[in-house]
Parts: sequence; structure tokens; C-alpha cells
Amino acid sequence: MITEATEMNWFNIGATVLYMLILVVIGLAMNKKVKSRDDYWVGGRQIGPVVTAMSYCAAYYSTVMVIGGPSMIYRYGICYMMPNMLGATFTTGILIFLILALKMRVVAGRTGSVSLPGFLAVRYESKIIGLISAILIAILMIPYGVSVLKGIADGFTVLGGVPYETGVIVIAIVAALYLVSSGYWGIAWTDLIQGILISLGMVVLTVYVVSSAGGVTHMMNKITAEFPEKVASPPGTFNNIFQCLSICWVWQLIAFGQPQLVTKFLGLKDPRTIKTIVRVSVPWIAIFLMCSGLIGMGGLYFYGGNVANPDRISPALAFASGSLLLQALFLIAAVAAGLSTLVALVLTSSAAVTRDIYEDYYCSKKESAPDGKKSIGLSRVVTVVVLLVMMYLALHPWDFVWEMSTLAAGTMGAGFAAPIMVGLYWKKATKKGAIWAVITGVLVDVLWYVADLSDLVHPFLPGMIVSFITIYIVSLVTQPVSKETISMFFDKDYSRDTKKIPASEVILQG
Amino acid sequence: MAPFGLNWPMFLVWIVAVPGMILLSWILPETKWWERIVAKYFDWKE
Repeated sequence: MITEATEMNWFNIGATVLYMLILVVIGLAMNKKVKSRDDYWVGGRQIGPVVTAMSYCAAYYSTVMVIGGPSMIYRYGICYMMPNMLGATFTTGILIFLILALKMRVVAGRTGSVSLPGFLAVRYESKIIGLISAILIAILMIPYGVSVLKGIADGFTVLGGVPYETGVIVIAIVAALYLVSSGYWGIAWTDLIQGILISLGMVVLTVYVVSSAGGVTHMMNKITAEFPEKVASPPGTFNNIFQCLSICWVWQLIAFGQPQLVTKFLGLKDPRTIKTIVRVSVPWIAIFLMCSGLIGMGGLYFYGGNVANPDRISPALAFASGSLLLQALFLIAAVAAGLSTLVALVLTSSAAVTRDIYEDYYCSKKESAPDGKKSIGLSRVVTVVVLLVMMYLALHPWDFVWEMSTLAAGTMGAGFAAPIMVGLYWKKATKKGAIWAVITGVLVDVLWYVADLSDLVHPFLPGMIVSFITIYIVSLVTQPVSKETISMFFDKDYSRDTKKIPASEVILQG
Repeated sequence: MAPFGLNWPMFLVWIVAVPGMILLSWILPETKWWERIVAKYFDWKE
């Protein structure tokens, strides 16, 4: 039987408020580092590898994963846990840095790009693809952010007894305070602390769950006896192996097209430090997912197989421990996971509006040079507006907010993965190929969802496949980009001293 | 039954997923294969 806080838990609330005050102080302290637009959006490309790795992990593993990860393992069992661990550590811990982040950062240093739409606009010599991407990002970040905000507020309710509405408002204010004051500088350094606390919270809860269950072997033996389907090899509880792997690996593949993660790569100080990032990220991800799996299994062990809302399992296990310290630590971990993702989403959405729509499209169309100070000011205003919209929607959540966030993340992944990856590694990729890849990827993903085919495979997968096929076919029959751009992206000896052209100044064809 | 109450296939996946991937994260970026790929686009040892 799941039990939750029925009254305000002042210890948990006090610890979390103290933690959030520390974040705000760090954000305000970082304010002096913001002297230019690049400082606000990508930390002036001065962020070190360990901070970048933690910032990436903290942004990727949000409250959805802290709360929803154990919930998925509770529902699907070992046949979800093991492929997920294998895929996540390899794909999002190693592959994404070695084949995507490294080259993206090198090229961004040459082009001056600070956002995904800006990057695509330069690669494909097209303002239109930049504009389409920026609009998609600005819109799709909203439901994603709302679900994260809702997740944190739910955690406050379960572990702190704080009314849901209060939780939403407090989190939005804290995020606004450090995000508006220092942009990506504040995000990166607070994420370092958040990343450490997320892993610490998960590890402590796991130790409690496993030791209370009498050890891993005892816990698994009981689950094997009572729920043999939950410990079966894949497809196990899934309909078939394709559904199993698509659900297990979908979030890992989606990462390749997530603008808020790509921004982290653009802020890296030195591309050669990518090895350090990989070596920090992989153990972090492996530990996080192992803890997530054991907590989910603990849910089966302690609560049986009939929990109506499995999302409540991990907060409920923390609450059941009776330890105020453990509860406070887990609540802080959940808040940290949510806040780090939320601020990354808000900054990306704000950059899409300010940098890609206002500066690169509107100002360039009016043939007026964007003013640096005005742009930072506008970014801050847009940041607050985006947060206000998310806060309003979180206060009036629709029933399918979780579904919408998965759909939003999947849609961005389906639309952007092909233009990014193909653009980085295939010289013949063209402007029209990229535009149609974004359009078809997004359309197929949404239509697949609307046609209610998600039970077969996640909508992201067919969307991404169609997007890759489209960019290949269309690029074969359309005009390639200029030699100057190809040189910028593929030439080892490209000199950035003589040829560096800021994204906003590149003469683009519409 | 494999250690920790797991079946053997899942136990092997676990062994590969955690220590195996950590090991890979140290080995892979040091391989000649990887350096050749990287060296195509910029001077890795610059």
C-alpha cells in the first residue's frame, strides 16, 4: 500500500528551499560573466568538460526519468531495464559525443553558431530551415517544459506535502531568477551541483530499497516467484521484440535531435576534451539507470503488481523509509533533475525566438544589425514569458500532459536527427533535402501518433526513418550547397581566422 | 539461475552494460580507428 505525506513536512521543505537558494546565489554570481550574446546562450564557449558532462546528464535525465524510470521498470520489468541500460550507456554516453558533439562543436567554432536552427541555417545556406526549426522548437519545448514542471510539483506534493500550485509557482520563480541573471553560465554551473545531487539521491534511495528487501538476490528471487513475466528475457512483457527495442531505445535515439542537448555541445571550451566528457557521462548514466532499475524492482517487491499509478513508486519508497534525510535528499534529487531540464528547455526556446527568429530572420530581413545589449534584454524577457506560459499551463494541466511531452520530444528527434547527422557527415546533403526531412519527419511522427499506431512502435522511429530517406533522395536530385560551406564543414585545413563568418552575417538564400 | 537472481541472458547484459560500457568509454576514444575519423575534420593533437 503506497503512503504519501498528508501534511507539510517542514524538514524536507526547508532542505529544498535552502538548496534552491544556493542555485539562485550561483546564478546571480555568474551574472558578471555575461557580457555578450554568446555568453548568455552558450557560456561564451568557455565551459569545461566535466561541467559540460554534468550539464548534459542533468538536462537529459529529468524528473520524468527520476520518477518515470522506475515506473517503466515496474511496468515492463527486466526486459525493459537491461536493453535500456545497454542502449543508453552506449548511445547517449559514448556515441552521441564521439560522432555528434565533437564535430558539431568544431564546426560551430568555425561558423559562430549558438543554436541548432542557426547551425542548420548555415549548413544548408537557408534561412527557411532556420526559421522552421526555431518555430518548431519554440512551440514543442512548451509541453515538454510543462510536463517537467508538473513532475517537480508532484514530487513536492508527495514528499513535502506542499500544495501542487505552490510547487509550480516556486519552481518557476527559482528557474527565472538564475536563468534570467546568467543564462547558460548559470545553467552549466548549477547543473554541476544538480548532476551530483541527482546521482546521490538515486544511490541513497537504492541502497535503502535493496537493503530493506534483504539484498538484490533475495529481492529478485521473490519477484521471479511472484511475477515471472517481469524477469523474462526480451520481448518479455512486450508484444514483440520490435516494440520492446523501440520503447527501450527510443529516448536514446531521440537525444540526437534534441536542441537543448545540442546547445551543451556548442558551449564546450575545447573540442579535444571530449574524451573527458565521455568518461564522466558513462559512469553517471550507468549508475543512474542501475539505481532506477533497482528502485523499480523494489516497487514490485514492496507493493506487488497492482499499483494504480506507478509514477508514485519512487517518492513513496523514499517516504516509506521514514528517514527525513533520505526523503529530503530524494526530493532535492527530483527537483534538481527537473530544474536542470526545465532551464535548458526554456533557454533553448528563448534562443529560438530571440536569436533565430528575431536576429537571424527579422533583423536580417530588415537589413539592420542586431544590437547585442538589446538581444540579451529581449532574451531575458522571452525567458520570463516562456516560463509564465509553462507555469500557466502547469497550473491548468490537461490530462495527457505526459503523453504530449513524449510526443514533443519524439517529434523534435524525428525532425532534426537526419538534417543534423547527414549535414555533418554527407557533403551532398542539400537545402531542399533538409527542409523536406524536417517536414516529413515531424508529419510522420504526428500522424503515426494520431493514427494510434504507437502500440506497434514509438512514433519517433517511423518519423526518423522517413526523414533520413527523404533527405537522401531529395538531396540526390537538388542543387548542393556552395563550396565555401562544404569547406567550412568538411575541410581539415579550414582556417577560422580568415574565413570565420558569424551565423548572423552569412548571406543566406531564402 | 545466474547471480543476483537474474537469468543468464539478462545477467550478461548487465555485466556488459555497466562495467563493459565504462571500459569502452576509456578504450574507444584512444583507438587508431577513432583518431582517424576525428583527424579527417580537424587537428586532434593540435
